[in-house]
Amino acid sequence: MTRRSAMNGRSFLVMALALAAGLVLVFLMSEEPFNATIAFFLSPFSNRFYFGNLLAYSIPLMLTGLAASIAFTSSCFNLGMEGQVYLGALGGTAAGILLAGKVSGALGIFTMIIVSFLFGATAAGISALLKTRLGVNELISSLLLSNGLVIIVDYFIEGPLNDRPSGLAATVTLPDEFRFGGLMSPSYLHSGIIFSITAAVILWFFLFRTREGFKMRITGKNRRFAYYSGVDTKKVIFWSLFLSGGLASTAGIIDVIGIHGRVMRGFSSGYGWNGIAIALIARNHPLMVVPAALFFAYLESGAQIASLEANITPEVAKIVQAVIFFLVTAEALIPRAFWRKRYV
Amino acid sequence: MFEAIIRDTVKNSTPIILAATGGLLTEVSGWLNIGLEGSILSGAFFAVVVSSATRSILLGTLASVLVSVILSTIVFLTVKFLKANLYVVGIAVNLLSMGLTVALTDLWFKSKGTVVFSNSPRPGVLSIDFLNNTSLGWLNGLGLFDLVAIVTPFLFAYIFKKTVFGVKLRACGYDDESAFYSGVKVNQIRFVAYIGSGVFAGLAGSALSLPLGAFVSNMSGGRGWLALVAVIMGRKKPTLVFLSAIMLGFVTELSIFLQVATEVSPKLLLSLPYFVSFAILALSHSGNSKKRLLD
Repeated sequence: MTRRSAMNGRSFLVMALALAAGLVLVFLMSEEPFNATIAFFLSPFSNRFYFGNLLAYSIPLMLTGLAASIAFTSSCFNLGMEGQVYLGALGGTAAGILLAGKVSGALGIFTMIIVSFLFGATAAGISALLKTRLGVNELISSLLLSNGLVIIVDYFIEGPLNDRPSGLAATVTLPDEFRFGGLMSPSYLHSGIIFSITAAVILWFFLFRTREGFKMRITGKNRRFAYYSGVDTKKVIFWSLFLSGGLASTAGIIDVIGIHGRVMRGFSSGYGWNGIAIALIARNHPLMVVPAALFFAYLESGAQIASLEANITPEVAKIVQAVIFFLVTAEALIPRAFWRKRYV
Repeated sequence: MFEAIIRDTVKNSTPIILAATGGLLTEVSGWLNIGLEGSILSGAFFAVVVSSATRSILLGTLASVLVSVILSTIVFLTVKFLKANLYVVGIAVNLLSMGLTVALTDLWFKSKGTVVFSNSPRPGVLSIDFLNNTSLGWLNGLGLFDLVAIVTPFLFAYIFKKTVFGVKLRACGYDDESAFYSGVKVNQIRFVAYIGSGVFAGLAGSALSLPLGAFVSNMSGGRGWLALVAVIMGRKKPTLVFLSAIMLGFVTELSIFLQVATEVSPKLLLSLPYFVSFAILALSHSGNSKKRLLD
C-alpha cells in the first residue's frame, strides 16, 4: 500500500497557483498595483489588529471546513452549509435572547451552541433521510433547502426578531454575559478559537481512532464493500450528514457569540463554500483543516484590506477561491511519475 | 387574466427550460453539468453588456453563448484531462461567475447592485392580430427566446430517439465503457454535449437579461439549480424535463402573484420555489426506494 500524507504536494501547488492568480488579478484590476499587492499579501501580518482579525476569521472557517470534511469522508456532498450556518446562528441567538437574565453565562453559551447544532443538524438530517430512504441526490436537495432557509432567516432578522430602535437589518443584541472574551484587543479574536481547535482534535480522534469513525471512512472509500462487510451504510451516511450540518451551524453561532453579538443580515455569506474548499485542500483530514482555514482566512482578509487601502473589489478573493475549486481535485495536475511511490 | 397567467408562466419558465435542456444533454451523456447557474449568470452579464455596446441583440446573444460555451468547455477539459471531480468543478464555475460578474460591474460601471443599460435594444415580441380572442392568444407577447424554449425540448426528443448522434449520446450515459468498445467516440460525444449545454445556458442568460435591459448582481437567482431539479425529475426524457421546468416556472410565477394578491410577507413567498421544488424532488423519488438499496 502506498503511503500518502494527508496534505500532499497537490494541495500546496494549488495554494501557490491560487496566490499567483490573486497576484495577477490585483495587477490587472488596480490603478496602483504595487500598493495593492503589498496590501493584499503583507498587510494581514503588519499589525496586531489585522493579524488578530485574520485569526478571528479562521474560527468559523475551521468549523465549516470540518463540517464539509465529515460529509466528504462518507462520500456525501453537503452543499447546504450556507443555509445551515445562517440558520444555526439564528436558532442559537433566539435561544440566547429567551434565556437572557435567567441562567449563568457559561450555561447560556453552552445551551446556545447545542440549540444551534440541533437546528443545522436537523436541516442536513432531512436531506440525509431523503437520500437514504428515497435516493434523492443530497447535493441538490441540501442546496435547495439551504437557499429556501436563507430567505426564511432573512425574514426573521427583518421581522419578528429585528432590533427596531437600531434601524439595522439585525436581530436584538445578546447580553454581555453570553459573549466570549476577547483575546487580542483591539482585534476581534475571541476564545472561540479554542472551541474550533478542540472540535478539530475531537473529530480527528473520532474518525481515526474509533470504530464508528472507521465505518464512516470505509463507507466513503467503497460503499458496496462496506455494505457487504456488514456496515449499516444508510445509518453511517445519515449520521455523517447530521454531524456535518450541526458543525456548520456552530460556525454561525460561534461568530455571533464571539464577534457580532447579534445575527446581521448576510453576515455568514461565503462560509459554507469556503468550508468546502478548505475540506478539499485539507483532503478531509480534520487536523489539516486548521492550517487550510488559516490560509483561507489570509486570502479573505488580504482582499478585505486591499479593498480598503487600495481600492480593489473584495470579489478578488472569490475568483481566487474559484481557481482553487477548479484545481484542487485535479488528480492529474501533477503527473504520477513525479512522485516516487513509497511502499511500507 | 387567464391568458396573462399562461404568458407569464411561459416567460418565467423560459430560462429554466433552456438551461434544463442544456443540463439534460450532459445528463444523458453521463456527466451532469452542475455549473449551469454560473453559466446563466455570466451569459446574462455579457449578453446585456455586448448588446448595449454594439446595439445588436444578435451580437449580445452570441457573446453570451460564447462565454457559456467557454465555461462549459473549461469544465469538460478539467474533468477530462486533469481528472478533477465533476461536481467540484461545477461549483467552481458558479463561484467564478458570481465573483467575476460583480468584480467586472464594479470595474467597468462602478456599481455593485443593478446596472441599467438604457441603450440596449429590447428583443421584439410576437404580435399576430388574428390570434387575439382565440385560445392561442397567450402566444402574443412572447419573445423569440420563449418560442425557442417551447420548441427545443421536442426537437431533442426527436434527436435522442431518431438520430445516430442521439443513440450514441444515450449509449455514453448508460455505460460509457461498453459504448467505447462498440466504437462510439465517448469523449467526442461528451464534448459536443458540453458545448450544447453551454449554448443553451447562454441562451437562458440572454433570455434573462435582454428583455430587462439591465444586469442585477446574482440575477440568475437559483434558476440554474431549478433547471437541475427539472433535469433530475425528467429522468432523461426531454418532454418530462420540459413539463417539470414549466411546473417550476409556474411555482415561481405563483410566488410573484401571491406577493401582490395576499397579505403574506413577500419575503417568505420568495422562498416558495425552493421549498416546493424540494418537495417535488422528494415526491418524484418516492416509490422507487426498493431499487436503491446501496446508493
